[in-house]
Amino acid sequence: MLSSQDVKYLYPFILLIVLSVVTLFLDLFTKQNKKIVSGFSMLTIAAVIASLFYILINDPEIARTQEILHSYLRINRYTIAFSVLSMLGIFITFLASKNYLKKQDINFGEFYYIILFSAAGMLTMLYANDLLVIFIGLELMSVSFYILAGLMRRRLKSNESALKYFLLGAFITGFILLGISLMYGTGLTKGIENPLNLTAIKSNPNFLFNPYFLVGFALFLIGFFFKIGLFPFQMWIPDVYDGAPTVVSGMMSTSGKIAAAGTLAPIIIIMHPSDLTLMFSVIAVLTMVIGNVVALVQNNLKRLLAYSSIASAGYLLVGITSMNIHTLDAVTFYLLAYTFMQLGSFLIVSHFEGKTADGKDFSNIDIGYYKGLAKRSPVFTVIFTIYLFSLAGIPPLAGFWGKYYLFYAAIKANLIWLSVVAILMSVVSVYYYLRIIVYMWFMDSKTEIPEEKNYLKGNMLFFAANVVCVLGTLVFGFYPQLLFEMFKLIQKII
Amino acid sequence: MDLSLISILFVILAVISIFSALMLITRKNPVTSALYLILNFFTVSGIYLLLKAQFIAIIQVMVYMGAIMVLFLFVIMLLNLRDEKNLTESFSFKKLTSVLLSITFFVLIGTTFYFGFSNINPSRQGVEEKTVEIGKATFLGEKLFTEFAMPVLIAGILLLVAIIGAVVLAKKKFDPVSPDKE
Amino acid sequence: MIDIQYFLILSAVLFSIGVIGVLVRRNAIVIFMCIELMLNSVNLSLITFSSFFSNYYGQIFVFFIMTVAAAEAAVGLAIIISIYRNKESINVDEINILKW
Repeated sequence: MLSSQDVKYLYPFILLIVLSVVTLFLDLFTKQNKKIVSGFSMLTIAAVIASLFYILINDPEIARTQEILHSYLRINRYTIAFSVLSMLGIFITFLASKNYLKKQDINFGEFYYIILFSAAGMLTMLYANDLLVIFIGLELMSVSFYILAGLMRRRLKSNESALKYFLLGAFITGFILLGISLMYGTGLTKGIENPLNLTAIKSNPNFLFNPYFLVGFALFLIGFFFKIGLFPFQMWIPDVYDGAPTVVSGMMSTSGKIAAAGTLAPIIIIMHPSDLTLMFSVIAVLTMVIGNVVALVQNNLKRLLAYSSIASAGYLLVGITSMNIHTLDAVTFYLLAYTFMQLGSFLIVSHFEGKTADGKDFSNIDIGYYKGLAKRSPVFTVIFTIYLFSLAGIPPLAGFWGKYYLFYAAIKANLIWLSVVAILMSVVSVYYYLRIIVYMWFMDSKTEIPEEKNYLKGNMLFFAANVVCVLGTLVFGFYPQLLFEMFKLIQKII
Repeated sequence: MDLSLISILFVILAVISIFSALMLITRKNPVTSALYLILNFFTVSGIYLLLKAQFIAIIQVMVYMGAIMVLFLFVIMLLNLRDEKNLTESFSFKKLTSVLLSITFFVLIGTTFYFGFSNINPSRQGVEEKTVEIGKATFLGEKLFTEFAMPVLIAGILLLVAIIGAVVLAKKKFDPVSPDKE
Repeated sequence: MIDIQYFLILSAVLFSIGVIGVLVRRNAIVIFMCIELMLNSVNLSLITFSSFFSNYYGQIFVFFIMTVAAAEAAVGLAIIISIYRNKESINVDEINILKW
């Protein structure tokens, strides 16, 4: 049943699952020293990325979609691109998280291998060609995230964020399942042998004209909109990202979102529900408005980044709504740029989070702390400024090209009004990103905070993670074609 | 609907399951709610038997009642909770809205279910034997461990994560590695 | 034999009761039980389709839903215990989360 042809494409899976179980046992036998576990988990992710690239380079057949394992899984270049991006987010998180975990007293081995298992869930989702497999992968990812959000067990905020995430997530799971059940039932009435399979759905184009199927598909979409954080299911994002450990918030907002969007976008392209274009556009507009306008008044940086991630989900939906040949390219590029800048910003916030000088617990995530940061810690200020400029979409940086491609795809699909609204909203967003930059460079702090010296000492890995993010932001900013060449994507844009 | 034994059984089971679901959401003591949920699962498992899904019916009893609900009852006892206020005492506009929303939702789903499948009348001859066949543990087990081997593997990892997560989150004491030890 | 709609309507009724329970109740454990009720009613509709069309995918799906429900129950109850340790309450109004 398992031909060698199939096994070839499954190497990333096998590596990830085997090595994460090995990590679990390593943690058992090296009780005190977490360096081995963290090193080994980074190695695992690096091996998975390498094996994904191995498939990409050595297998020209994946230019067309290959279906494997009874067509439960499928693989093509976009699958690989999305998988690499979500693994990259996890890799950067692992690099940067050691000091933060120590600071928060949560330096458990569990942190590493639960993230590895959630990575297995993400790969499953991204590879899936079947609603059942998508569901299992989604649940593996979500359950891992519930645990990670509540990892700081002694802090009420973390408990609350885990409970909120869990209850809402499980509630939405019910709706996803009801939607799948309806799609299954309508598929059976049309005489399809396996209506859960996306290939079977694709081969029956009359499906979407069936209103009962459409109700099921809409319920299924609700679930994914919740995971990506689109209006009206965005309300959990600020609370959960605020309460969860900062590195975990960064990971959830990048890798988790890449997995969900990377699963949803191909499904929407396959189904091509052109009737829903107006609904998608309205949701995208509302999401961008909510995200950007509420972010204007946020003083807590974690919440601000959470709202900015809601706004980013809105931009993504603008691209997805276009549903043409440019869509997947644009989504891939935006997610790449987003990984570097969003994760990088979360990492900087995690670096400064901690006990304040006056002993008041953990208020350093407030924007007031960042007053005059340029004098105290010039290197990280420069890095943070690059991320913020990229998030705001200032031209030569990766974030600009990400938005450019998304809006280009929307304009090509004749959604000009939607692109205009999106551009206006990203102009609004410049205000709150620039506000942080002004605070850091041009304002003086009233309270005395000691200057930071020797930021390299004991921070090498954290620094390396930031170097990766900065390089990514700059390189893909000055040479955006690199991504399309790297993954041999269609490269139809311009 | 003719008054065959199956129809009568279905009506009884359906009435009990709706009744127990209503009791679940209206009782203020969580233990009572949990017991009504068990009753509900039991009746639903009876309906699975009417639908000739014997393996799933047994699994329902074993997994839901034997494992999940016991866990619920155990946690409720462990936490020593106070009763919630009566629903009428804590009446609010918000609750009324949510009930109305749910009823609207029910109308949507109910009409979809009712009209989407109203003219479905698969010829029962031949189908019935096949239905009995696919409900058996031998058939489902064979499918699970050949065709669905990969989802089963992922489900296994999901359960592993759940075990680890439950231990991490609910463990009484934990000893983080202090910075000086490393 | 009973028509397919009766089973499906029963499933829809149970699902909606579950939704009402989630929205109305304030005790986190009871909310979670209502979510289990919702999952269970979806199982009922899947089994109905599976049985009426003699298609085994529905029953396999139910098997996986049960696995997921068990995993979620373990993690969810652990989260509830950890919040109870810090707060001595699992009423979602007192915790002041879940703003609908």
